[in-house]
Amino acid sequence: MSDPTHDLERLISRYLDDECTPQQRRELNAWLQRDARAAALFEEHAALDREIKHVLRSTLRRAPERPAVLPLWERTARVFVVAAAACLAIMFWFASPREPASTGTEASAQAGVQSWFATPPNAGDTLVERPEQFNRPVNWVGRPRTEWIVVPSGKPGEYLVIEVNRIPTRSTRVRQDF
Amino acid sequence: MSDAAVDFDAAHALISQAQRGSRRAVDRLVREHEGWVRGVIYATTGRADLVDDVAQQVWTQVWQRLGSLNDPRRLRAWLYAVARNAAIDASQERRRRGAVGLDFVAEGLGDNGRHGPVRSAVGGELRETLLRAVEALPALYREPFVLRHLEDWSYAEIGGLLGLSVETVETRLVRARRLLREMLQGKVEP
Repeated sequence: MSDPTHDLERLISRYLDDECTPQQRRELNAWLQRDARAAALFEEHAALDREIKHVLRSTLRRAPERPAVLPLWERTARVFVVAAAACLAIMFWFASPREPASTGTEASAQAGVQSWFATPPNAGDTLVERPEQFNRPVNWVGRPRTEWIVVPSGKPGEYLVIEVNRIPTRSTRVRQDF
Repeated sequence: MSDAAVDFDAAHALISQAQRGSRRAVDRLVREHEGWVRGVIYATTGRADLVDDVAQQVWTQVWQRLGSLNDPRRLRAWLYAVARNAAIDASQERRRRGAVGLDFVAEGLGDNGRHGPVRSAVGGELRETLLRAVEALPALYREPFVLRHLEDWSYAEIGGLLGLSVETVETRLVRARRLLREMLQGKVEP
């Protein structure tokens, strides 16, 4: 003779796993209606199942990742966004006022520093003044992206070299040797 | 042509592409099977914190050894073997290093891991308590239980993967539920 509790547990388990036949479903339903303890057992198993399922899924399932290959519309949209950003950057570049770079001499003079090569404040971001102001021979070496301004110092063998990187940063750097 | 035949053809094509080195095919393969593979790793190790690392090892091995799979119909069984072996290796490695494992889990559950949890399950603690209870199940019962609850697989699907009859899967699930109910008595409100 079979154990009724075991039979009930088997029916409940089948029901929770969606494996009940219609006949078993009716049988379980009748059982739960006539037996309050069976109904309580069913409720307990159903609640445990629900909670454990939720916990297992939230713990073990990874957050959905973006597909490795983006859909065509998204790839196209990205190209347009990058192109628009590039156009804006180019427009801004041409529209912005062009100031010749400064040597930082004003800052150096204010600080009482005599050497060309003393580090000016905010070196690298300092704009260079017009070369004519130095009243010394100036040599220009230019390439499309970079220009070098070579200014002889007052001392023999000492030069000020100003490198102007126009396109990427518009910053200047000073080097002693060249 | 039947649905099963269409599915098989699609799976065959996908595996062939992956074997030829298609990154997209491998990605799809991972997406389709990652859920239950992670479930197998968890069920084998009984450790949620190992799942990410072991899963990564599994997919690396799959990528390297997919060429050795001759029959695409055996993909699930093949993946199961790779995942289970990697999970067992990781468990043993962890044990060799003396890290805490199921003993720690059982401690949290009471005298011998079969009685009610010591701590009251409130808020986030309920999650911990439930996880520990699942981890304290014998691996024999934990495996079908996790596959059923994580992926909603049928008894036949679970039996197909684990090499068990439908009746055995059902019995193990009934026993897993009974054990969990004993361990968690009064901790979850109906």
